Amino acid sequence: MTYSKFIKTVKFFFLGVSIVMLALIFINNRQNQVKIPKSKFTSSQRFDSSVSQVLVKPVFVGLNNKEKPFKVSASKATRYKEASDTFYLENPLGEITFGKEKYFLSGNNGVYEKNIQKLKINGDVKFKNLNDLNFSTTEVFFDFKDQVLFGDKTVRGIKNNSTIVSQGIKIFNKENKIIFTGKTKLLLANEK
Amino acid sequence: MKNNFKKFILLLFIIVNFNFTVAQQVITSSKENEPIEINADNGIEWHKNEKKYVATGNAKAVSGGLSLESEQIEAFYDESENSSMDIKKVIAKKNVIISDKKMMIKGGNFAEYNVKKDYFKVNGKNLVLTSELNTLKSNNKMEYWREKGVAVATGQAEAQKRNDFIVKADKLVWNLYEIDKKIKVKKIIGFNNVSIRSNNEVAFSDKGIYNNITEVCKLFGNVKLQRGDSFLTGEYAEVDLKSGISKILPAPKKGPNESKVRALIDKESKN
Repeated sequence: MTYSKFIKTVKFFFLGVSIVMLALIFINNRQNQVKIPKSKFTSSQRFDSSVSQVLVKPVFVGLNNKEKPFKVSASKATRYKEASDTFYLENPLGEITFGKEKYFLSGNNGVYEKNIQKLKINGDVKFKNLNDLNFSTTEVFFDFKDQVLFGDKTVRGIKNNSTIVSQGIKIFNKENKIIFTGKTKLLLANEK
Repeated sequence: MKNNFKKFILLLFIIVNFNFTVAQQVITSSKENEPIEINADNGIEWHKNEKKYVATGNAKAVSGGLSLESEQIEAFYDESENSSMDIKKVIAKKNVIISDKKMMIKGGNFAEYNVKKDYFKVNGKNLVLTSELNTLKSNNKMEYWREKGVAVATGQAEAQKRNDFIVKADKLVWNLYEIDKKIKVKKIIGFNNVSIRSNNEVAFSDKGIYNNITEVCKLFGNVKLQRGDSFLTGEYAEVDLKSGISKILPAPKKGPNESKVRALIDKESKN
């Protein structure tokens, strides 16, 4: 074997070794990766390991597509390293400017997806704006980008003597419209 | 003299009280204080810019004894200073049914209810209003003033009381009154091309007024009473649907033909 042949063989050997090492790293990463739920919005599982960060009384402030501000706060937020843009919230509160109106949301638990600007609140959920009804439900979602608030659990709304009960709700900022979905009962009573 | 004066005061008191009692017999609606309940199977949309609610899928709006059912109900409101909502108008589309104290209007494709006026307008090709023993039909439009107790059927209108009689006209007006929480017919007034068909007679005229209490029908203008092939004509007639006796009489108002009564007797049928 000549000297040049030996050098060439060593080069190929190291190249092969590096490729194998890269492949092993890739496989190892895939195996460690935690399966993210189908829809980030519907995630109710908590990652039991690899807690990377716990925030006390965090406040998330941002602007939506229409440059309207929104604020999400909580008594505690937990972030797991595998999903760094997802925050699991305790006692979340949301302040969302929705067109000309400002909505206030609260609940027992929540998930805030920072990168896609989506918030889920569940538990004893309450939301209201300054002029309309006060709503209560067990789960509600808010899409800051599309400015849509929605939920498919029983919703109760009350304002003065008027009440509404429906199987779900959708609030569209664009059309200044609230849709009470499914079987709905509305009671309109004049003030006494 | 003093006694006469006392009697006069007593009589005046009785008259005033009687008139007040009669005035109370119009249909009570109490629309101001009754809450409105709207139910729907497929949801309710709240269009805040247009100040309206849209209920779809077996929608039903109820207020006191009044109810409105249809495929879609739209309720328009005004917002008062304390931001409470006062419903001013309700629109119903497709398969409209209106019920009010055992009175019912069916067959409407479209209905509009003006809350302030307490007035309904219903459109449809097969409209039927039923109240106890009476029915009122129309192939075009029916209007109903709840508080005033008036129902108007326009377009090939037809009113029927059991099998006693059928009144037809271009326009028929029902005067209604409420008794024991039921709405009953007091008078039926027909305009243009009026015909009344009872068991043994047919009467035609320009205008007719039927009193449901006395069961007498008064006919005005171009009156023709027909029994078999025989008929009487005149300007005014009274048809007693209870006794079956009909009379051609001088017209109550003076007109060019007030005293002209003509008769054509069919001899064959008489024999």
